[in-house]
Amino acid sequence: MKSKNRIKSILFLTGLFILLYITSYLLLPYNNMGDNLYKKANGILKEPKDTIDYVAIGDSECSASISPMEVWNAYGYSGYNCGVPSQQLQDTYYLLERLLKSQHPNLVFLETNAFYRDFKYINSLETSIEETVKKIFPIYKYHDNWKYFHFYMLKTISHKIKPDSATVYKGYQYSAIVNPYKSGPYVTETEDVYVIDEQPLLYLNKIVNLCRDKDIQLILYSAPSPKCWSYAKHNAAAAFANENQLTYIDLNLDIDTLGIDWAKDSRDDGDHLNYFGAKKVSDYMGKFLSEHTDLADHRKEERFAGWNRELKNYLKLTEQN
Amino acid sequence: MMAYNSLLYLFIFLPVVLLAYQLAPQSFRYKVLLIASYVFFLSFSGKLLAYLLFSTLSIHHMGLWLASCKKDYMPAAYAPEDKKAKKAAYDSKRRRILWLGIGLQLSILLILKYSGFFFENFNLALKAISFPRLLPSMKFALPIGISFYTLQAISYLIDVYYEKIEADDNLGRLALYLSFFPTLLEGPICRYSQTAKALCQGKPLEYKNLTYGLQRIMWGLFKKLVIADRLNLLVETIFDTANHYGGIIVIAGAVLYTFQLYADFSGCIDMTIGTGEMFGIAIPENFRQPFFSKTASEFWRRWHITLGAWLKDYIFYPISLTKFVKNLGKKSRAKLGKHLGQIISSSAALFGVWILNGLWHGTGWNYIFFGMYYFVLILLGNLLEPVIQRMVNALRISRTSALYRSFQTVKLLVIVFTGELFFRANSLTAGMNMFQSIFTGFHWSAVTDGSLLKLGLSLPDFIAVFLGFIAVYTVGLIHEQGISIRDRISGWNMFARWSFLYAAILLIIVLGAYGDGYLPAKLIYAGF
Repeated sequence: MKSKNRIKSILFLTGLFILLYITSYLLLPYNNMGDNLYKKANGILKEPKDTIDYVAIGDSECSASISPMEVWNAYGYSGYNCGVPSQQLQDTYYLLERLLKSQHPNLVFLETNAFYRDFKYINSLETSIEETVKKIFPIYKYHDNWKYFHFYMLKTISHKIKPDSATVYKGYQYSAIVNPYKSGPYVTETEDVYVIDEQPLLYLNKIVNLCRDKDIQLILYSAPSPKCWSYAKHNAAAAFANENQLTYIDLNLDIDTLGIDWAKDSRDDGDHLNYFGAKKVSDYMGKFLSEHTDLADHRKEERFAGWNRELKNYLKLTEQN
Repeated sequence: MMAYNSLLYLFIFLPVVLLAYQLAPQSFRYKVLLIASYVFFLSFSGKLLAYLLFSTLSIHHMGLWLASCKKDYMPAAYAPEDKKAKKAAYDSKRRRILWLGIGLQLSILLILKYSGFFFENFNLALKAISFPRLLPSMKFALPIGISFYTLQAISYLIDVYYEKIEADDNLGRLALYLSFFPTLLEGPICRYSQTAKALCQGKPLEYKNLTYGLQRIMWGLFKKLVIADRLNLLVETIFDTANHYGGIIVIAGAVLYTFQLYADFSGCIDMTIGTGEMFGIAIPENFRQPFFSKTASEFWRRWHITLGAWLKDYIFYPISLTKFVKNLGKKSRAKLGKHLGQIISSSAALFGVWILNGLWHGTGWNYIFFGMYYFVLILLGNLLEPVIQRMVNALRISRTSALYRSFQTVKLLVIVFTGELFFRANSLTAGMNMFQSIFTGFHWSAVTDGSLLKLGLSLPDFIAVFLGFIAVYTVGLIHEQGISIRDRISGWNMFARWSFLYAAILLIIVLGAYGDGYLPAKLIYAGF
């Protein structure tokens, strides 16, 4: 290639990068709803030492299904949702190991969808590239915000809203979008077993051992998800729980008790719960904690005053939608 | 997995291959492409690479075997009384090799792709006569591109047999022809004579090829991300819960699926051709503005062109030239006249083409119905042509008038949308029910009460899709007039050209349907 063409290519790409960088700022959201997901999970590291009663961990099924502020509001238990979309179990293990250095929760809820997450290296590579691009050019992440462009502009310019503190949601991935699941009942009992692959199993055992060493009760749970869940997966998770004497809560089998209405409670056709579905799961989990553990209600404790302040923000943000 | 629209493919895989290709010595460049193609295949199908290897080795061997027969056959050296017998033995041996080669390729495809369907239907037939099921349920993992490279392999062997090309003794070259990564997922179905030479030439990269190729890739990305993947949300809702809808919603499903399929498949082919262009390799076009056609047969000459051409050359003509069909033609022409006789003799070949077209796409009865639907329509079109011509003459209608052409366009669109409704339906029964529900559940209110906006696409989504349509229609119109848009753009001054390209890139990024809130949409034809 001629040097003139080389210079032209470099100039074109430089111009493009600058343009993408600048336009990114036009589409940035006005609060932390779609903020960096790891950043939110890592938000637990900012919590005062030993103030977390329970931790929920797993992939996006976890981050979208339990809202710790709902549990706090009803029961006064302090929790943190460390779920990260597309997280694989080895990352879950390392995240848990890291957070246990500053917190000593009584209980960990481990969501089971990550047991079956594809471990192909090529997929992990694709995810890492996507995350890097999103970091450098936020326009790639927030591109869909053009639909609400006027809304953001009005909010940010006329009211000068500052981004909310990352801790308001306590790691929960808030979404009030409603995209119903329409295919009807999906629980069909079978004896088939969806075997957990060797690599996730290795890290699953490490998580079990880590919790045992730290004297933490580990509870497996499956968030309601017609798109991701199957009875064969349930059988494998139940067998693992049985072998390791763990409690396993499969919420997919208890949709009616939970009161999940698939016309309103899913954000993406039955893959993940939205805020309305997560509220129901959070109530269920809060009730479970009150019935099966002796956690204390911290709502009136002075060292948890920050939680009550953040609750006000949380209610304001969720009631807006 | 590296779909052509993934960041991994566009920003890592492709640049690395381009760089390695450029840095490699010219004679080694085709090996770079071959390694890249196998890495690409491995990223999708892992151990199933064994099938591709087997196909390649067997085709290479069969080609050389055919060539060696020719070397061993020396008509000049035979005594005149032996010549006929030697010729017959030579022809017979070559035919056997050809059929063995084709049989091997087809066996793999039939076992992996079709055995489950045939076994299941055989068991159903047994059940109908109260007999217990005999055959097991079969489901195999399919290596990517198997339907595409099998057709390429067969065409290579037949072309060697008919001496249109010489058998390639270089295994690497043949392997690259069968597995070239841009064509592996969705074709187009290339002939050895079209691409093999360019693939192995190792031409150095050129600035014009790179920029033109990139522009073509961008156009493909636009169609795929802005139109196809956005429509995917709505199309999936309608077809997966078809029994909830009727009337206008089902019509919208069929229409929008047709556009989704076109944007998805032709978008992928644009990315394929663009990638080839960057390496200086001309990959044949697979679409030529099909929606500007006037008849169903013209539509199929403009849609998935390489499949149509493959079926014409390797199915239609061979069937037409069989003794049986020739005799049938002769007799029917003598008894029924030229027009009818011709139609009757060509119908056998046409049937072969369309049943295979349907089956090639998949193993459901809806695909077979799809093939038969076009078989009947094209046959009827040919049969009625003189009647229509007489009617047009009697009514003094000009076939070139705008009104008549509009009528033809509307008629063609109805035919295509109906065909795609059955093509996309989850089963033939589902397709039939959906088709019926257009008439039984028709309510105009679906247009006014906002029902369409509750199916997964919001108003801004529809606006994005509409803008996409306008762009695709305008580009089609310009191409229909034989104008090269890229040549025109390259004639603009740098400011205008760069501004246009920046705007196009921004549009793809902003209006594309990907990331949070969108289910990853697969390349539709990769599934066939």
